[in-house]
Amino acid sequence: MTLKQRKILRLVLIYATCAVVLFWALAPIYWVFVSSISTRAELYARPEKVWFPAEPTFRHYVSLFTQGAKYRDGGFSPTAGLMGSGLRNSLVVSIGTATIVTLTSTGAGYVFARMKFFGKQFVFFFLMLLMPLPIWVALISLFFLMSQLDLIDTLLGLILIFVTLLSPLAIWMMTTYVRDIPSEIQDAALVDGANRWQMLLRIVVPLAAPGMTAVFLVVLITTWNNFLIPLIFTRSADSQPLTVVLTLFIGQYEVAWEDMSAAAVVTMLPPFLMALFFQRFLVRGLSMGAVK
Amino acid sequence: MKRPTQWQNTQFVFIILLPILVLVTIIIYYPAVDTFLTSLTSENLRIRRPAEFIYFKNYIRLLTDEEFWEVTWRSFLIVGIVLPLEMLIAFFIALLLHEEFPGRNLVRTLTILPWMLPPVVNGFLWGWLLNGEYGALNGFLYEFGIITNYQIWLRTPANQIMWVTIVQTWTRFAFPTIILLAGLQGIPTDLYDAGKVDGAGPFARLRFITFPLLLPSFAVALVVEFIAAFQIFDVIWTLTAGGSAGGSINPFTKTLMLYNYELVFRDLRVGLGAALSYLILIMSLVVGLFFVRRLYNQGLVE
Amino acid sequence: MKFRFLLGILFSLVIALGSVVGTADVHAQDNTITFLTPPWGVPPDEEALNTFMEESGITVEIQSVQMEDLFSRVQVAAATGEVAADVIFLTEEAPSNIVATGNMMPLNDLVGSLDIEDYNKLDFWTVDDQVFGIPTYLQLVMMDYNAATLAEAGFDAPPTTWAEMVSMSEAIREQGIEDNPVAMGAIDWSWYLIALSMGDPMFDEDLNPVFADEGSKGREAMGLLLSMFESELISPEILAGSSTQHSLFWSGTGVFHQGWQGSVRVANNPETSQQAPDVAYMLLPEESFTWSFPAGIGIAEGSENPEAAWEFIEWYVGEGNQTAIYNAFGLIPSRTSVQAALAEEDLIDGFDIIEEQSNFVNELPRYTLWWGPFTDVVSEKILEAAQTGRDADAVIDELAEEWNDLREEFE
Repeated sequence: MTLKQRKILRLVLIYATCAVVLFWALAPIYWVFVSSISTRAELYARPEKVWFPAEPTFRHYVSLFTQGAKYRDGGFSPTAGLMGSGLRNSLVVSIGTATIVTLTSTGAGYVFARMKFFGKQFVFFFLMLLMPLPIWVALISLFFLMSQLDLIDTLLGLILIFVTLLSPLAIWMMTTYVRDIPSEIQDAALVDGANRWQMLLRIVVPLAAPGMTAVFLVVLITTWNNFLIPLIFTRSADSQPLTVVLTLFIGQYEVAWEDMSAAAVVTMLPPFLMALFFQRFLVRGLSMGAVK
Repeated sequence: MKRPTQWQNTQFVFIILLPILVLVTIIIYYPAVDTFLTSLTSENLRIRRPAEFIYFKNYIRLLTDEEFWEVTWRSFLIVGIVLPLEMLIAFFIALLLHEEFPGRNLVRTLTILPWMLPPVVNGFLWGWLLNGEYGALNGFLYEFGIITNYQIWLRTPANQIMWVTIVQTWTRFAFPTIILLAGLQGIPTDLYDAGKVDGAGPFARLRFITFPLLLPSFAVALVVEFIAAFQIFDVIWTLTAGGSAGGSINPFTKTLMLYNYELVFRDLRVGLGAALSYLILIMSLVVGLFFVRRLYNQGLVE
Repeated sequence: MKFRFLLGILFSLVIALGSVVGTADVHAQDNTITFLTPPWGVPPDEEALNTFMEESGITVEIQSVQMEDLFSRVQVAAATGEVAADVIFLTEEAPSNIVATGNMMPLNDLVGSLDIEDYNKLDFWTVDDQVFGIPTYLQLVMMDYNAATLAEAGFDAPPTTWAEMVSMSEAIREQGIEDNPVAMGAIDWSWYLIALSMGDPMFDEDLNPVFADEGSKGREAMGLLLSMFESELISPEILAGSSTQHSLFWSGTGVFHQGWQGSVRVANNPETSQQAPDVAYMLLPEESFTWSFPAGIGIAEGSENPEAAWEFIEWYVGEGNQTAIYNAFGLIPSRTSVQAALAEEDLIDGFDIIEEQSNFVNELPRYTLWWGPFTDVVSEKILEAAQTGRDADAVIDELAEEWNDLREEFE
């Protein structure tokens, strides 16, 4: 075999393997997307399935937001509103949480990476202990606490919980990030008489911007995807995010797979797009803590 | 001008850390202590009488309860299947993505997608895929002649567990892939060159150079994936639990987290549920300590 | 400098604590009430509801949740000193899970504004002379069947014993007409239904579980049910958890179906069911007993706006809404006058069999505080036994034991 032949063979092998891997990773996603744009007749075809609809239709999406899922033959159920409010709630909670966590963890990361103070080890440990902690240990009493504070079924309640749960990871990420910024620049700034706040804002933040972006995106996607917390802490359209709304559809209504697929696509679209376009940040962020 | 004083530093640290410490205390630590106290009581919201202090009776009740051991065993079974499966797939894909070829970044981006999606959606997605009447898996296998009749994939308890582990693997395999890939890229190429010079074939190089050097990466991936698999909830909820249908939770895929949810929010046996939470904590503690020790080893805490 | 330090602390506290405490704003707006209901309690006629809201000036916020969540939500709210909703739809196991737990308000002072005589089953929602709910529709658990398929197999009448149903089902399968002729769930209902109609009283007056007596019909019923799963007369799809007996039957699988008063209307609607238009009720086999599920609507204990809540209930149990519910879900109106109007126009399918069946009602102890938890255990045990092929007698023994344990815990 010549060198060239070997090179070609290698590429062929690689691409064949890639095809298998991509099929494994993407086929389920493809199918739910196809389901959401198929008519019922095509979707329920058996035993031979229709792998792409002859006439793709977006009406399931339209009916999802206008009509909502139906219960049996029954007229209206307030589910159309649920999709809209779910979208709003998911957006508010995940963006709100991501913003707050990014701000607080940048400061905390700087403090842990660059400053010496009494009890630092203890405080860091106090925060990091949360990461492997099974959430149920706090969940039960937290539920009753939130009830007493009137924070059940509110967006604010969700944001507070998510901020708390995701801060340790974010602080960890920012600590490693800030630690890797050459400290000479910072020391120079200190000598120039900048105080800690000025330093944080003018020097650390610009240098740590990629890290902050990563934190923002990681927190955003984690919050968006979460299900257990809103399952327990929400009750109505006031605060139920899409992940919860989706499960309501699955259980309550006639099994209309095309509508539910559309709901699933809507629920996974933002993380999907983020994963496509910001993957560099996400991957670095999500694996940074673990790999360093 | 001079460097910030000690006092200024202290106030800076204080202002930065106070909000998060207050939140963590109120939202996690205080409820955690309260949950422990609750676990020592007979609190049951269905019974309208004040909860009694019953020492460790809830714990004893759980530990002598057959269902508790079944659920615990099942949780570890799922972990025991998911971890090797994930590592195998991740190692394989990491090796592939470590090769250089045109379009590698695109392949990497697409491969990682499932990890980024909401796990509840993944459970639903696979539930639809595996549907016995109209599912795509049946259609696919039928067209390739692998099956002649549509199968009800989630029919038996053993199959339900199997598919739960597969869906969990599908959801999570990207993370270990990335960790291992980063590990691979951190291995100096001259080691391989040296190996080649010594006459080691590709498999020998894999076995004696790549694998040992990847062990730390495997360790990290294993710890993180252990936590993820041990706390599995969302995927089961939409795939096999039947929980979303509002009925009772399918006992055959009930893991510790689902059991805890059922005890507290369905059965309203709050005291018993709190005790279970603490038993789960104890089980995770072993792994948790390992996790924290890694933090020290990484020198994050000086 | 010290001043700024204090300011900083203050700022942090505002972020962390202020938001927590500062949100204690009350959501009880003047004339807004909340209505907590399972999906089938949502008023089907949206326009009529809007008209009501406009005319009365009351805003009704509907929270449609799954039944199990409904119960726990009510009780959890009560445990934290809150009210889950103003108006609550009472359905299925609500007697044990909501009423017996003390979550509903007695309506005795309010019912005067209704024509009480017109409402059937008001007594069901009355405990110790206190009325906790106004009946909205009546419901008996029944069986229905596809008469055309049965005729195709050569049977011109539905079975009169359970054994006959099994043998008919086997014949239907052998003739290749239908592989899984029985559409029943792996749930508590299936067992109660067979046991009651075989004539087992299930419990005696002192609430002892007589279903577990030696050689009882309850044992026989469990054996029969499990054997139908074993032989797959009931579709294994049920065990996969992806379908209910209803959606399975309506999508075309099955000949005999566990339904209710009104299920034929859904089954014979070509929009919702492949079985249309050949489905009919059958009188339950053998002793024919069943139990009933009249649904009600009531006001939650502690509601801050009972007047508006009552006004909504008056509208809800009114003729218009009851008729709309019948049209949408096939559920039989609780009011004699509304029933009569529908019957006059011959709108109620199978009315004669429904009437006959309603002579055979043997109520289960559903107000017992531990009935709710018990039903969960029954469902779980049946599913488990159907999956693993366990012995029916062992299951029954465990259920009796569970009943006694729960009783001890709750009494």
